[in-house]
Amino acid sequence: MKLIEVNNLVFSYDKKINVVDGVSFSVESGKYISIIGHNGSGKSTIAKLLIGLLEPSKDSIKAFGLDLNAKNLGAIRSRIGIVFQNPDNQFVGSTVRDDIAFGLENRRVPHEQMDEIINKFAEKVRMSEFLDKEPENLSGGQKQRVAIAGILAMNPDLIIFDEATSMLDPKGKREVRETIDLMRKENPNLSIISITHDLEEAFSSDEVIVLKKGKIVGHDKPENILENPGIFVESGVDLPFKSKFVNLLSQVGIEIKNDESLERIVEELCQ
Amino acid sequence: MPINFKNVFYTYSEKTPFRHEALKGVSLTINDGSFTCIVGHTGCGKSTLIQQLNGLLIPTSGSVDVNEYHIEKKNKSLKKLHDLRKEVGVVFQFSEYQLFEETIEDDVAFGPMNFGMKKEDVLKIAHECLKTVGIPEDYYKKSPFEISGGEKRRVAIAGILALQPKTLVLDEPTAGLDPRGTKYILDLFKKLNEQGTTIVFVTHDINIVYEYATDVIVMNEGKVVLQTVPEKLFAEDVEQYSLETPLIQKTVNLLQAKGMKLDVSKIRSLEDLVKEIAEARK
Repeated sequence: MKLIEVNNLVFSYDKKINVVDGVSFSVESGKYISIIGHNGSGKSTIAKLLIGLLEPSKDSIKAFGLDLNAKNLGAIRSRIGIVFQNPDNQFVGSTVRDDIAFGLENRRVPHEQMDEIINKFAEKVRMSEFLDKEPENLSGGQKQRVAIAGILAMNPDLIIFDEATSMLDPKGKREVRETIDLMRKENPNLSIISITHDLEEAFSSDEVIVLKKGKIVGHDKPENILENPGIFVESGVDLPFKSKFVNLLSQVGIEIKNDESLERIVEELCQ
Repeated sequence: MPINFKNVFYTYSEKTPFRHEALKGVSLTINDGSFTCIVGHTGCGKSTLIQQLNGLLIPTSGSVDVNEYHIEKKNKSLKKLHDLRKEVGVVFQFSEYQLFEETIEDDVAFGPMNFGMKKEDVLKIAHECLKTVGIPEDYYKKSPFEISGGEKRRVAIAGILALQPKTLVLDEPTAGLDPRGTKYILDLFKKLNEQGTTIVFVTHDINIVYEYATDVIVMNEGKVVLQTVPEKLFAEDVEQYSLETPLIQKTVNLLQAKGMKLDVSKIRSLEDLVKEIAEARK
């Protein structure tokens, strides 16, 4: 089932340059899609358009079968969660518990049920022991996990990660990635759109969309998209380490047959 | 003159229930003209450490020497700190959030103006610095809020370069930039370093340490656990310091385990590694 259909989406901040310039793609239920591209390629603008923080061109976005417009916005937003880049800008509660409760309160979930829901989702992101901690005492990765718990408590069909790991250290990045894996395992129908510069992260998803100056220049499964490395160079994103290594080797006349893993490449080199 | 930390302790909110000891007896040396990387986990005291470098924070105990400036609790003089800040420029994390002026050139000029220079002279310097960071001329009169994130970061860096500091301190300047933007500013810092500026670079990216650092300081829980050169650090198992092994080093280790003879001293980049592999296979 198609959760999101984007059809010829165009957006301009200044009515001169189209930051998003004729983008079309769809998101199937349960799929994990990464969007990569250079700074200013329109990635984050697309995220904001998808949840109606910016107004999309008419009839260009359909979410859950509804046209994304002012009338349907409430219904659509109730099914989409978004995690932003900066952990400090999205922590609204004074403690972890309050922060997870924020969305529930807005939905007028009865107080008696709230505790149970909060405990359940804090456990899912492995933050149970921090429920009464204040944000000052949490690391960036922990704050992002609290943000995820708050969203999961809303039971969304789609979660958008807008560079949610880019301000975290390697440990924090790993924690968030593991949380994403875990939540997909628990709910196979949950769809994810991840906007990222982290290629290792992008290549663990089901599909990769490469953006350049507001246009899609590549959209395929990770293993297929690597067959055309030119796309990456053109659009200002880096190739994964393994591909860069194989390309450079090929330039000095060493052809690698099996580039499945670094270990396999090394094996071939040492034959 | 090198920068010297002697047994520096720093405690936030002393004598309150929120007391937090961020630095616990740090002694280190940052050599003149070096490209020193400081690595360690979030909360290890890196950011507290760099704020001692230009007197934004004064050690609770111990002392910091930067050129002829001696920073110590009993010896803090505002006049001196003012002069020190001309010599040590600090670019904070996500520095683009600090832009505030109406035009890009005014934003870059703000620092030197506050050190009492004339507007015409300052604008000349501002333009030079914007050129250095690769901001085109038709941007100078634009608002800093109209440009992309990567460009904003470069404008913020130009604002510090305009102070013409001898030491440039950078807190995660590449976080959130795309790979091309990252490479651009790393090469810029390398060039400044080759021209004589001391670079102090705080990072989580171990691959940057591998490719760019001349010196490396590893921190953990408010202490320096290791000060060394990258060659020595990566010859050890870096995971014992909870650091990740750089991808190039990982490849080198795998190749060596399989018996390939590589001249490690010649390898600083992936290009170098491929060259050495071709050599070894001859």
